[in-house]
Amino acid sequence: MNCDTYAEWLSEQLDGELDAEHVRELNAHLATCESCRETQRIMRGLAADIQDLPRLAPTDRSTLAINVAIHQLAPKPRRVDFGPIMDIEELAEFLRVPLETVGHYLDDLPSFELGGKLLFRRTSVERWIEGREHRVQAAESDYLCVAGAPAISKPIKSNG
Amino acid sequence: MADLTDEELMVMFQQGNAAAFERLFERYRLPLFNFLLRLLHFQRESAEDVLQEVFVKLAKARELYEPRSPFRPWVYIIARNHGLNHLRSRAVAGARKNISFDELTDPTSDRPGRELAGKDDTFKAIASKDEVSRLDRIIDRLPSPAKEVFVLHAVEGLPHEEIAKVLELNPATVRTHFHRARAQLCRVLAQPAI
Repeated sequence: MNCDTYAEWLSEQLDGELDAEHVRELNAHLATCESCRETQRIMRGLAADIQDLPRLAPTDRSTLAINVAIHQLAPKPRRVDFGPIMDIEELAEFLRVPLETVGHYLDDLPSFELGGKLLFRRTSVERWIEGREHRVQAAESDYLCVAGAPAISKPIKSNG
Repeated sequence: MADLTDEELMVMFQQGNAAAFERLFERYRLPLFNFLLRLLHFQRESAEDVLQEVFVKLAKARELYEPRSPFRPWVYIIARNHGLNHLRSRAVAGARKNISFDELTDPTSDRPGRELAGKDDTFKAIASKDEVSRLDRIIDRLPSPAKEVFVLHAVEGLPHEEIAKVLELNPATVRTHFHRARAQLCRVLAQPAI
């Protein structure tokens, strides 16, 4: 056994991980080895020495750059406070779908035009949603009536 | 917001609360920077660049974070990966100048490559000698992964189980690396300073 191994045992002993038999052997070695006693003394004070290590900080420039990046990358909070009349962007947000998806349903969605701008009344849109829900439920019932058919909902094509 | 856990803050950020992520940045700014400094051999500007990369990555990868899993090991995994990638890219740059990766990263090397690493703009400024203590210089000479295990446990206070996740090692292996590193470190410290 050499002093490198005894030093590892000292570390295990410090954390309470060395069994009694090894502790006895270690103590017998410490009684005769000044170098290992010095290692033990240093190891006992090491935690305090580590606490005293300088804690360096990133520069203000770097901290600022990270803060800017955080704000640029932060997801937009989901809006919930929609008014009675919505424009097309607000409608997409209200329905939680991309703007392109709203575009596909423009002929179907209840809307009105004012000053060259397409607008949507919230209550009318909610009624339109309810209508779609009823059609989906009816289609599911039709599917379930067919024995052995998989109970999956069929995409509903708008009747215009 | 101070009493919220890291995991709760990250979920708030996933839902669009930038202030929650600022809070996480405040919590992890110093620990991660000091971990990266030691991983990158006290190349201060490199550590700053990598720290920035890490937080940008965390913000971009927010949807990949699984709220039930602990946040801290995830952050250290990302930091370590970016730090190691940085060391690898420096090795590629060093190869173009005929400097080996070992010369660039071996703090005990007296070869010209080590000097170049300090002088060349590519490798950025090393933290000043006053900022790097004898203890840190000896820690820097520990072999990997014992050095990372020692820094994460003794300096940054991570338990062995979390370090095992960060380094993808068995917790028993982490313990062995730690005791070996601490033993080696104290044996060197026991020798008179040159």
